[in-house]
Amino acid sequence: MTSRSLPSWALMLLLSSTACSLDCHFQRRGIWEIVQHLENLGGKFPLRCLKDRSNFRFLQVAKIDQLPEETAFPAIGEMLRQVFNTFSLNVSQSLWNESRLERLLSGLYQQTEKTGICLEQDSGQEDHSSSQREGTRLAIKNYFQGIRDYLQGQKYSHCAWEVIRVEIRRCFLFIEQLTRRHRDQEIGHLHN
Amino acid sequence: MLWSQNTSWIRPHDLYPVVYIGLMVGVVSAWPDLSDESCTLKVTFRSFRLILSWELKNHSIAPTHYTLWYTVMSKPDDMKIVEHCSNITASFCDLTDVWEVLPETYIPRVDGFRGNTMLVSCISDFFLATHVSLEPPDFDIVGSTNHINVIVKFPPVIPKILNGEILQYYLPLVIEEQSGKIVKKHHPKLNGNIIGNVTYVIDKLIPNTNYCVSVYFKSKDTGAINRSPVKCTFLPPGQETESSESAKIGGIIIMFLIAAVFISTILILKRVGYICLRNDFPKVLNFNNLSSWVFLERPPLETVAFVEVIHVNRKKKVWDYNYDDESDSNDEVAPPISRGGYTMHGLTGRLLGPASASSATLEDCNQPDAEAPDQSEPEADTEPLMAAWPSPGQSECCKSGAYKERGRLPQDPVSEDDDSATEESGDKITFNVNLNSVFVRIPDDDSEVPPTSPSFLEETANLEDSDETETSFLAASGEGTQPPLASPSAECPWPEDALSDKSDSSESDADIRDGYIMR
Repeated sequence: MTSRSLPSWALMLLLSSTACSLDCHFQRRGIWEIVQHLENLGGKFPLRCLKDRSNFRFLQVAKIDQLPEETAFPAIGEMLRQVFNTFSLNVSQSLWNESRLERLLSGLYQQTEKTGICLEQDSGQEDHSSSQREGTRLAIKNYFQGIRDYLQGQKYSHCAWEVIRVEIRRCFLFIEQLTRRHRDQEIGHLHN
Repeated sequence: MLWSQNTSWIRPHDLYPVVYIGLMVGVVSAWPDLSDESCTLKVTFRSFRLILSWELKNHSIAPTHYTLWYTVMSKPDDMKIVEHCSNITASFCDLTDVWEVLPETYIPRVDGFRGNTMLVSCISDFFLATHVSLEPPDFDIVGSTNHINVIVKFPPVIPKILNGEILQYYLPLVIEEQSGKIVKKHHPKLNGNIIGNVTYVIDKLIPNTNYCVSVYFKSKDTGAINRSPVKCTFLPPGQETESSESAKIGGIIIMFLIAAVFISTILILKRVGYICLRNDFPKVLNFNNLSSWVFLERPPLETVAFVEVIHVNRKKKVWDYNYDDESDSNDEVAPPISRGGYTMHGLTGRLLGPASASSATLEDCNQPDAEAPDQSEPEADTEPLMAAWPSPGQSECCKSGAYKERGRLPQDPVSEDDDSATEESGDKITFNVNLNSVFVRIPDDDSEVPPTSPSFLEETANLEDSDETETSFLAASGEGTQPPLASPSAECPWPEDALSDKSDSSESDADIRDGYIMR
C-alpha cells in the first residue's frame, strides 16, 4: 500500500465509521414504532384503573439536560433491555391481544440489538466516563425494579399492566429525546 | 296458599350479597369509563394555544354549562378542577398554561350540567407527544421574480410546551409549493425559541409562473395533515438578459447536440457501409488546381520549352538559267527550294528542362504560291505558325494543327547578318501551323544547328534583328506541373529524339528521309 493510497484508505474508514455512527441516530423510527405498539396494545386507559396509579419517580432520577452525552447509548440500551424483561414476565393475566403483544416484544428485541451495536461503537471512550455510565445504569435498574415490584404487588392485574403500559410510554419518549440529542451533538462535532 | 315457611328456602340474608353486587355493578356502570363514547374529547393547538374541546354524541342531551377536571398518570392524585373552565357555556377550554409537561399523560374529565343536574360526564387520556394535533398557522406570501417569501405568523410568546419539543420534532412545519401539477415540500427548521413571525424563502423558481403555497403541521405519530387554505401568487417575468442568456445558452447547446447527432449518424452510416462517399470526382470537378484555374497562372518559365522561330529572309532568286556554282555564296543563304515548292522555315525548339537540352527544328511547308521569298516571306512571316509541344493527351492536336502560341508578328523579317536574333528576346510571335502540311525535320548532328544558336540554320541564315527575332515560346511538358498542353510523350508525334542534343538525325531513323519526317 503506497503512501498515496493511505489518505484515501483513512478517509474511507472515517466515512464508514461516521455512517455507522449516524445510523445509530436513526433509531428514532424504531422507537416510535414501539410507542405505536404500546398504544395499540391497550387502547384507552380504563377509568377503573385510576386507583392503581403509582409514582415510579422516573423523571426524578434522570433528566435529559443533566445526563452526560457519553451516557446516552448505555442508558438507552439498559432501558430497552429492562422493558423487554418486564414485558416478558407474567403478562398472561393482562387482557391484551397476544399478537399485539408479540409485535411489541419483537420490536423491543430488534431495537435492543441495534442499540447494542451502537453501544459497542461507543465502547472505545475514555474510562473517566465509566462512573457516570454506571451511575445512570444503576438508576435505571432501580427504576425498573420498582416497576417489577409494583406488578408483583398488584399481582400482575390488568389494571397494573395498564398503569405500567402508560409508564413505559413515557420511558420511550425519554429514549427518543436521548437519541435525538446525541445525534445532534454528533452532527455538531462532525461539522466542527 | 303456596307460600309457607317450609318452602321459603331462600332466606333474606342470602340475598344481601346479590343486592350488594347488583348495586356495585350499577355503581360501576354508572361511572363513565375512559372508553365511554358519550362524548368526544380532542386536544389541538389553535393559534398556538392548547385547546381542549368536546362534543356530545347524543345531541338530544344539551347541557347548559360545563366544568372541566383533570389528573395525571404519573401520580395517584385526585381530579383537579380547572378554575377558568368551570361552569362555562363554551365547549372548549384553553389549557396552554395548565398542561406544560410533554411526557405526561393527562386525564381530563368534562361534566355537563343543566342547572344542578349532571347530564353527562366525559373522560379521556392524552399523551401530548403523540395525541395532540396542531391547526395550520396563519401565513402570508410575497412573490418576487424567482422566489417567494413565506411569512408564518407565530405569537409573540410561544407556549412552553410548544417551544420545547413539539414544534421541533413532534409537529414539524411543512410548506407546500405547487406549480401546475408539480408539488414540492419544504421543511423549515424551527429552533427551540421562536419569537415572532418566521420567514422562509422558496427560491429557484421560474419567473412568469403561478405558484400556490400551503402550510401545515404534520403529526409525527399519526401522520395526519391539516392543511391551511392555499394562497397563490404570479411571479413577474425576469430580466431580459437573464432569460435571453439562458435561452441563448440553451439554443447553442441544442444546436450542438443536433450537429453532434447528425455527424455521428453520418459516420456510423459510412462505417457500416450504408452510404459511400466518392473520392474520385470527375475531372471537371477536380478543383485541386483551382488557383490555376482561377488565376490562370503562367507555368513557370523554367519548365517552358523555348522554341525560337527564326525567320529566314530569303531573297527570291531568279534563276538565270545559269548552272554554274558561282552562285553559291556564304553570304547568301538561299533557302533551299525543296521539291514540290515548299518553303522551309526554321523553327528552333529548345527545351530547357532536364528532359532535353537540344533544339529541334520544325519546318513549315507552305503553299507553292508562297515560294517567292520576297513575296512569301512577308506572308511567311505573317503567316501564323503554330508550333507547340503537344501533350500526351492531345496527340491529335499535332495532326490537327492550329496550335496557338503567344507572340506577335515581327515587324521586320529576319535580317541576314544578325546573329543576335538567336538570342531570346521579349518579342513573341503567334503563328499558326497547319501540321497536316508540315514536315518535321530533325536536324543532323553535323548540321548547322547548334543547340544554342539558331544560326546553324544555314538555309535560314538570314536572321532578324534582335528586336525582331521571332521567338515563340512553346509550352513544353517536360515538367510535370505543366498544364495539359505541354508534355512531350511517346504519344506525341514529335519525337523526343528531336529535342535532345544527341538527337539522331541520321538516316538510320527509318522515318527520316533526307532529314524529313514523313507524315
